[in-house]
Amino acid sequence: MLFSSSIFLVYFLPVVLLLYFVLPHKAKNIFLLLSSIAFYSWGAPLFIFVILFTTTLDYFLVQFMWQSRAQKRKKLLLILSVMLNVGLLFYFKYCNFFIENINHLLSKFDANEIHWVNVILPIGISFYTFESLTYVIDVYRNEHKPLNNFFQYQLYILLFPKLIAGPIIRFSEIADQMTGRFATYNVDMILNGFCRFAIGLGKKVLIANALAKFANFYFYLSPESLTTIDCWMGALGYTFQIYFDFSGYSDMAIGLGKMFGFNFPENFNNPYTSKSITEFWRRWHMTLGSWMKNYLYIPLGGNKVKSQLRLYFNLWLVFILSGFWHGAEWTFIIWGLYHGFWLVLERMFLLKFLEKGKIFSVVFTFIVVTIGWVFFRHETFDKALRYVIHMFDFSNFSFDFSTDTRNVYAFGASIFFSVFILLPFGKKIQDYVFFNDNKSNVPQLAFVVVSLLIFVVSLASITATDFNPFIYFRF
Amino acid sequence: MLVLVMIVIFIPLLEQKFGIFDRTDILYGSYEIKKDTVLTPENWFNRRYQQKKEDFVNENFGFRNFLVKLNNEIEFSFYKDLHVNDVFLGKNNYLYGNTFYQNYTGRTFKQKYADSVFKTITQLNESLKAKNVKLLVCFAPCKESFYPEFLPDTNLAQVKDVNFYTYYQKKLKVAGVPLLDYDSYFRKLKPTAEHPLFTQGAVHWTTYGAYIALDTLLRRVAFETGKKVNTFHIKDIELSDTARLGDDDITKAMNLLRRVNTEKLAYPTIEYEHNNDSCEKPKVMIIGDSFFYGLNNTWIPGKVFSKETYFLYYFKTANPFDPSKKGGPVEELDLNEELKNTDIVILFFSTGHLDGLPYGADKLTKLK
Repeated sequence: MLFSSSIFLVYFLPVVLLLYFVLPHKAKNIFLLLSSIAFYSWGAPLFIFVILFTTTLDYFLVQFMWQSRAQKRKKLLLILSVMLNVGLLFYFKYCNFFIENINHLLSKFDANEIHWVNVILPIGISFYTFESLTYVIDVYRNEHKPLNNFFQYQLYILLFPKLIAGPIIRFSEIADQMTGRFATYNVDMILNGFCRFAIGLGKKVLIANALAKFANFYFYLSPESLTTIDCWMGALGYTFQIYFDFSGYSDMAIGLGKMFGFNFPENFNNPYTSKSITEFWRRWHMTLGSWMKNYLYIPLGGNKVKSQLRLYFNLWLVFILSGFWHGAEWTFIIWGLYHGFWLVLERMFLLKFLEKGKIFSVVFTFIVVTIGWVFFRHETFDKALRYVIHMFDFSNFSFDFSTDTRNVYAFGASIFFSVFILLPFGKKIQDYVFFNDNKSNVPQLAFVVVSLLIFVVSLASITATDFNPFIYFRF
Repeated sequence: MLVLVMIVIFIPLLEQKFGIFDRTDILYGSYEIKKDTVLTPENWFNRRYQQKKEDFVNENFGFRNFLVKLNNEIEFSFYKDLHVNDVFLGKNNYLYGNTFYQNYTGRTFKQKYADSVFKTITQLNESLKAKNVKLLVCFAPCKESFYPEFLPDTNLAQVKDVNFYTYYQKKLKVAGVPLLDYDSYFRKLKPTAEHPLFTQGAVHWTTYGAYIALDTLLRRVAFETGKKVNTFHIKDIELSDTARLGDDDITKAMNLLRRVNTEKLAYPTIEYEHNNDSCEKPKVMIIGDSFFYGLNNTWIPGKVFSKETYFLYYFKTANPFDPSKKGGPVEELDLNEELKNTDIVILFFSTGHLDGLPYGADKLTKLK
């Protein structure tokens, strides 16, 4: 069930929200867990059993680990739990990829290929696995004691607002909210949550969906058939589409979380205003960045490694794995490699120059990121590379470019909102609108009314998207 | 404020369940209605239940029709998006049908195919003649040929010299097949017509245009059959800002909150020239497209033609003039029987639909 679907907006959200609101505090968590199970089962009716089984196993493994006094046993249980989760992710997400590549190699040597029935990727597995890992690792590191209530643990993993596409919430960030959030849960929180949800819905439905059609057109065609400006427009369309799509979804998740009393961590912070790739990764998919830093980069030695070479290797490795986390395709690995390359370059010398600049650094970083998205978007490395080459093939340059009004609006809105904080008072306005939960009555009313309008217009767009009747039926 | 939010997010569900408000806000156009589904363990686990339920809810929640209109209104006002299949926007908000346009440009024209169709029509003419039945070919105009000046410049540049209409028109004249060429007739009328013959928001001729066409048709049927057919003249005209009947067929299917038509449209009141009982009522078989509906909507053909008359829509659906008879597929009709005593067969198609001729009407040549 997608947040941007009629069934979620018209059935699931109002019913769950109302019942949650009227139920006593004691019953709220169990009701939210049941709602989350229903939410996930709707989209993955078989895989829900796998999640329920592994979360049960994980819960008891961590309990045993916590109670265990012997360090060796603790470590063994940690390894067991990590293997369970990583194994699950590997099986469902990466087996197809590896076997496909092994078979490709085998066919080169005329050897028999491995027979394999493709595994279907369960929705949200990358997010839920990473959260399961934070639970066991945070408890192992004594950052937080485990949850004593089995259902609370399941709720942490299955909580529907963030189950499908994050934000990836570390256990230590949410553990205290599982029962302690009711002290601060109030009407303003629900209202602010709804407004945040509506803004996210608008970003996804009204901006990202329009840009998706635009970008798909260019990425679908052979790069050779495009002019230089076509290639750039397609790449820019996708650059804004992915931002408004993903950040819109994160806004919806954060908003829903608030409506149920949770404070989820932010996932985006105006990434296209970054002055370097290093800064970009502090602003883009922040919860993944934080996860990678805490559970991969620091265990590898972090910044405290002995040699610069090792540091560069670690950085690159983290970004290759980060790319691979996004999808089991070579293009994602290349994308990770590409970002790792720029990060290493920045560590070596580039960052010093970029930090001095303002607009130039923002534009430079934006172009680097845009080129990266071309690899991310294409299905094959070959096509992506040809596309990038055409972006710089100025022999093919022509200003002969036209697009329809919808794309002009979508581009205009996406550029404006992407760089809004660079404007005078931009940051102050953003902080007031998004992060001030105690607005006075008039601004709050205006915020609610605007959010309701966005909600209604988005719902209208969702339900009408495929409604294109014929004037009359011709045989 | 929370109450306001709750009302807004709850109202579609409440309206769907209890139908609190007026539900006359229907959507126009031809579209498939999604059906609700029943839950079974099998369709739950293979996700068909979920998919069908989502489709059903998406089309049936409360105020959905209003929201579709709201969305279409926004998208038309801001982006000029139409949300109707097979239609595009010309200058000054003139709307055109793509199928008509393709035929008008000549892109669909294939000479070999046109020659075979022409041969079929001449054969039909001969075989009907042998049965003492007349044939009349009527070419209703298409909006593209009537209002080429409102076509987008890029579209206009693609018009070729020959299309099915220009080709058949010349050939049928030479072959002596009776032809009523409304396409050229309407273009001749255009500079002097007192009221719009075509309008911005419809692909078909206006109601006023249909009256003009019907007047010509009745006189031509009288001439061809040699029968005294009751004709009429326009007694009075009512001018209206609101389109009626099919005069806003596209804008209706665009499902907007407001109408885009800006012209005053004419709605005639007629007077028959003779006492209906003193006239003969020819038995007619009309094989045609939706342009004939415009004529039929005046109710005049039902009065001046025999009750045994049939309108065979695209030669697929039989619409009897006799209200006591039921319509149905043409295959279920005994064509041999129906052709007996028929005075005239009329092929009535728009010049924008000639790519599909003879639409199965060649079956009539094979009848005994």
